[in-house]
Amino acid sequence: MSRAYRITVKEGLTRDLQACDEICTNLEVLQILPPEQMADLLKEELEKRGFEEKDGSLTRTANGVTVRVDPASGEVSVKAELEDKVDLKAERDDWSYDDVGPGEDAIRRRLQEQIRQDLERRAGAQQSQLQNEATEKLEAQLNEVRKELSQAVNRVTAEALKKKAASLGQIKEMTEDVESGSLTITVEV
Amino acid sequence: MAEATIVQVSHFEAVLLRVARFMVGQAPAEEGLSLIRDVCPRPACLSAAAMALVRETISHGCVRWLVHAGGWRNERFLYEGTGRTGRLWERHPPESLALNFSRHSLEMLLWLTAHRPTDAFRLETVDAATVTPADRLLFLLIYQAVRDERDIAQVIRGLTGVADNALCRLLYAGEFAADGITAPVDFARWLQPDAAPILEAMQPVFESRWIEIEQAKGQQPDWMAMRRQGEAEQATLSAFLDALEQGGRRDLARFMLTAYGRLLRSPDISAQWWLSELQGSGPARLAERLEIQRLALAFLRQAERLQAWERQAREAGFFDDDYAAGKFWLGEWERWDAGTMVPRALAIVRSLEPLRPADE
Repeated sequence: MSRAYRITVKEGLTRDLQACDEICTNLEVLQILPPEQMADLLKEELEKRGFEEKDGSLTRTANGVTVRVDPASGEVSVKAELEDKVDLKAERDDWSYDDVGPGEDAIRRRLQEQIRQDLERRAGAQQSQLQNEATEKLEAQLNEVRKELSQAVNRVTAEALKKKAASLGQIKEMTEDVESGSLTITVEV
Repeated sequence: MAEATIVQVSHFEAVLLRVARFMVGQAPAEEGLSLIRDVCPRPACLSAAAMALVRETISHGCVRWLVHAGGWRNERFLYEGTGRTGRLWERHPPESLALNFSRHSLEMLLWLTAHRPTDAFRLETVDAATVTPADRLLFLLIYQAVRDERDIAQVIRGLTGVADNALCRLLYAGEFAADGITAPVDFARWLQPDAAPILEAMQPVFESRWIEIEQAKGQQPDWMAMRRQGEAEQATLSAFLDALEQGGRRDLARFMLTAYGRLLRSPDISAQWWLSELQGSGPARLAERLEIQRLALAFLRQAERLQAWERQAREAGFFDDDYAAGKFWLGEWERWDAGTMVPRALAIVRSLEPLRPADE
């Protein structure tokens, strides 16, 4: 009389996951002074705001989001990066009438393949989830980064105007309203 | 009064002539398309009378098409660096308006007559060294005639002489990109005296077509299709403007100024007009979504180049070689209110930037 044997296969998958999202754009800085001077003003302003110079660019990382600015070209990139590690396990079993031999091997191979596909699918789902989180993190920070860079550019423009005015003649009067962003300079030429 | 001479042609030659008339818009579409979808065995040779009639049909047909397209208009274009006004045949000497067709035109018509385009028999490769601007104009008209028949149009798009045809690619960049046809085209050839008049006459065609393209983008729900189309348009328009700049024929970009004028008439128009139908949240990454949105505005993005031309023209001194051409461009700029429309186009392009100034 033939007997039925239970075949159990277990597999595991360990993988490091990485996800990132990044947008690149350009700051619109009016070239009131020569480009090198405008770049220096931008560099000074960003350093006051916690940016550090690295390879000619100014970088700041906060809350998993890195902002990088090239003061010479005005190129900006805002990047969110996340890492995770998955450690997945799965088990499947089936019945065979042979506890050893070709029938048992075939069933074992089939179960292994099914488990691998299942583990890959679950790892893929985790990767997608991580990617969504990276994108959400980037989107959440964008508005704050936008406001801050906008303020930085306004300060740089104001400083450049002051220097330009000083080079044209004697500044008689200067009124600045930081809140509204208005600047009035009276120059005697 | 002399009697009209009746020319006798064979059955194949009669079908060939009807196909030729259809291609230049002189026969109904229903008749023409049914002839193309049919097979008519090709004879060993054609009679001299038939050849003359084919030549006459495509010559007269293309001339008629160009005149209707815009050649009849009393317009201003650059001629040898200075402005010249008049209808197409008043601005150019007759010899530069002659349409010279090579054997490639006849071979194309013979193939369309003898075979079904969707059958396996393929037309021989067109030799880029011998194909003429007149041939390429005829190939454009052929593509336009069959464009609504998707299976035939796809085959025609893949033919040499059509795939690398600057006129076809400038008008239908997205359709060619959908078939993976994105290799660069040579626009510089079209600035030579035997071809530039064709671009001049076609300005209203370019304007209408680009307005149609931009309006259709508002109905495009597929992000990947928008990406393919935008990439193709960016590459094609960029190459076109490069050629015009190097060839001293910035006036041939006039259709872009007139198209901006019609598209951007309302000051309230926004990027949403182009992007509203892109379904769902699109690709997972914000980087990819932003890139596709930028590509969707490929036509508007060219405004930056046109604005640079305007600045250069204003800065040109009257000793500069291109002073007259620069003044001509400024005249066009004012004539089509580009001082209003171009900034409006650029504002729409900038509105997509996630780090635009906070007060915008």
